[in-house]
Amino acid sequence: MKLRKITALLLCALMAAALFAGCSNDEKPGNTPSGETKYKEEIIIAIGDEFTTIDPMETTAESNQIVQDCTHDLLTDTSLDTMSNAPELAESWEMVAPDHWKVKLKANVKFHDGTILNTDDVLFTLQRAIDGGYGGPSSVVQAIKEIKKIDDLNFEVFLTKPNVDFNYVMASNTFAILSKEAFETMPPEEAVAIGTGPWKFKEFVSGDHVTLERFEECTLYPVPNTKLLTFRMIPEANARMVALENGEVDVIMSPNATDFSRLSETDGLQLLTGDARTQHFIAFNMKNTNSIVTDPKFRLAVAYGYDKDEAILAAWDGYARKSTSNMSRDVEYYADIEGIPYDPEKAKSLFEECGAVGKTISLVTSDADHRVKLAQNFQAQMAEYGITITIELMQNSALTELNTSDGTTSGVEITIASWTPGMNADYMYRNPLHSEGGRNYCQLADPEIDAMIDAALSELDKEKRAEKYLELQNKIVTEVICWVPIAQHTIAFGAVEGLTGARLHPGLVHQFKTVELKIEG
Amino acid sequence: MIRYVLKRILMMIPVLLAVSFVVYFLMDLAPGDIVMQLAPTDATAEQIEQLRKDLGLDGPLLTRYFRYVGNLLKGDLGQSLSQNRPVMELFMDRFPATVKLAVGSLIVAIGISFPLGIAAATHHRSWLDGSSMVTAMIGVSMPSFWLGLLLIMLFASKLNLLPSGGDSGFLSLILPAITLGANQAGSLTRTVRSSMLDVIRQDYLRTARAKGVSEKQVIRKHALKNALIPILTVLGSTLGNALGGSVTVEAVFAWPGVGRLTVSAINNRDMTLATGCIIMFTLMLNLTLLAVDIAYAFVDPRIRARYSK
Repeated sequence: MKLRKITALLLCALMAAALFAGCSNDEKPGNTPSGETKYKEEIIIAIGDEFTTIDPMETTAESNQIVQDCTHDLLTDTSLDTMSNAPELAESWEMVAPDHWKVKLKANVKFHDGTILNTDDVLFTLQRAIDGGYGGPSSVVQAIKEIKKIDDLNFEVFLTKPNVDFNYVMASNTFAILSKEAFETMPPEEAVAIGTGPWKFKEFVSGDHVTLERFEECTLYPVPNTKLLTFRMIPEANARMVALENGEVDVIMSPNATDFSRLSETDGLQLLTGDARTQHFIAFNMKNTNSIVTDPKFRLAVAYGYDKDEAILAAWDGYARKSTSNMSRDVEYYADIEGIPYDPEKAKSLFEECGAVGKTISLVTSDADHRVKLAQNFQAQMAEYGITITIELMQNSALTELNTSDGTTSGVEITIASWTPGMNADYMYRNPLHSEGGRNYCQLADPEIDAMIDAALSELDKEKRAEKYLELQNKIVTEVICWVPIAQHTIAFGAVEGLTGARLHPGLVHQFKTVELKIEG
Repeated sequence: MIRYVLKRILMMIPVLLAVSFVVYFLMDLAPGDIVMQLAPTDATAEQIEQLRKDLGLDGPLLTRYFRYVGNLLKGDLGQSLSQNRPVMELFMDRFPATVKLAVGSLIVAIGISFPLGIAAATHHRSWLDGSSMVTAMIGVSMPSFWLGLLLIMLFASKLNLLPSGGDSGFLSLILPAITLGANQAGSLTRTVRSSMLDVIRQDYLRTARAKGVSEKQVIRKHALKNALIPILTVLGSTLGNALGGSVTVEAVFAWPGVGRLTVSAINNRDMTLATGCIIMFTLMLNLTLLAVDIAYAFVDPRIRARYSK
């Protein structure tokens, strides 16, 4: 009898709780009094990866930088309107010489602690980056020899070596400007959250969410109409989709490609898409002289024989743009080159000529879903030419370690990898293709290419520089063929209809500075 | 009793040290390098080496391990390499959510397995026994991510009754607790059934029935109490395992528990965070098993008598 009563009580409690849950979404569009336009007070964005820190110097992870972009600002940044490097905290800059720059800060920019941005904050931020031994801003630290204060808003930068692209270095997300005074008056863990962005850090629950509140005294941007901005961590793409459909969140990042049509066809939802700057490619280990991949004929055959459309369909359900160049489309000095067209007949005869038919070649890649699909598709395509591809999957950091180790002994033959560059062309070339590059997956050590990359960087004349990059592009793609470019994948948000200000960033640091959702009665 | 507890606690120290040794060395052997992840993509070889030095990862493995153990013996689990925060702080941030889910799932598991297991045992070889065992098998065999997504589709998406994920209060606990609990209930039901079957055949129960005690009383007061020891053992290890976090359930329901923290530490090759989390998990498991051993004394007077000697 007692048991029955307890069971009945429990059931009643569950039903009542469920009833309350069903009535909790009172801020959906259309639920407000008629006639007046209001804005939703809190916008919730579902992100897949974990947010771990508000300190811009501690991390290069996009999930952190997306949040930090709301709270902190850089000296320069990519303008998503013009797709070019544009002022953010810097009002203007001048290259006195390739290793000597002058920068002027914007006046009356307020930090969240009420202090006004000045040159000392820039100097302090640089010193913190040097003293702290942070990994993130190490390239900024390495580039700068000295910063000299001229006055409160003007300073000079002396570089360790000439760099005509220094304005892009200032756009490094890890070099967001911090408030010197905040560090003098607050504990460091609080001071590091003080930025100049339109959102102030409010709360962080590890593994669950991070909440920002609007900065009412923001002088750099219009004060947002939204009061609170919450980033909720939902690792599963399916669960993010359900949360959006259920009205629990207003924006979801990286929906599954299979959900794209559902998002665009469902009433009350919208799909926002764009091209990632990420270049996916097949890299050949140019130092593995024991392998057929160092035979130029073999590489040319792969370039002719690889059907990228088929690969795009397999890896992204068709949601990617085919690449003909190693350069990504919105990188400065990109030129639309023809590259090597798909020609299976030509590939077949080249494979036969170089003796690749009947051979077994190894391919390594990471266990990310799209890379596994790309690898399997490549395996199937090469099988049609009589070449056996064996696939080895590994965790991404293991892949990076393997591909940046000595290529003569690593045993790597082919890698499927990707590269998300900044906007400047030098970054696009130097890291993956220069012999001293940090992500030289194809282990290219070609003095001619090195010299061409260095020459392009030191060229001051824009037209001549464009010519040099065009020459490099053609050389890499059609002559050296150390990698076969595949595609730039589609990036997407799913969002509630009417939501504005959520901006897709090709560099994956998406922007939510002015996000808002009108509620119309 | 106190001496026994103290002895057990002391015995945990070599266990924890052994675990730290194995995890630390395995993490070092695993391919992948956290320095490559923390360094910007355009970092030069010198910058990478400097960062390795700054993180204290440049010395020989044994030196680093002994330094780590030295701090561990002082109760310091170290600093997370990827998040630059104390490991203990990161773990404790997530632990309450894990405890909530572990307890919630155990309640669900007990709620399902006890009635099913008892019914199966008391109706041995009947259709009720068969269907209970089939239900238990389904519970064990169903992948958590699949059941979790189905529950989300039904209760969050279709019926809009419960939140699809996150830790936002009691309602958000229901679906993950059911998902994890259903899985635990499978094996628990089988244990309850077999323990009850062992006890039900004992002479003292026949005597109780002969004395006119009702069947309900026989089951509740005599059989269940005596069948509890093996059930407690399974309950203890189930709870202990749940306290280590369930990665799949946490991922599907965006539950901020230690399982996701540990897996992301392993994926990021964050040696100190991964080792710290696993040490804490081992500690929790050991403490739970100790609690179970102590609980034996409360349910079994024979054990209580042995402790008091």
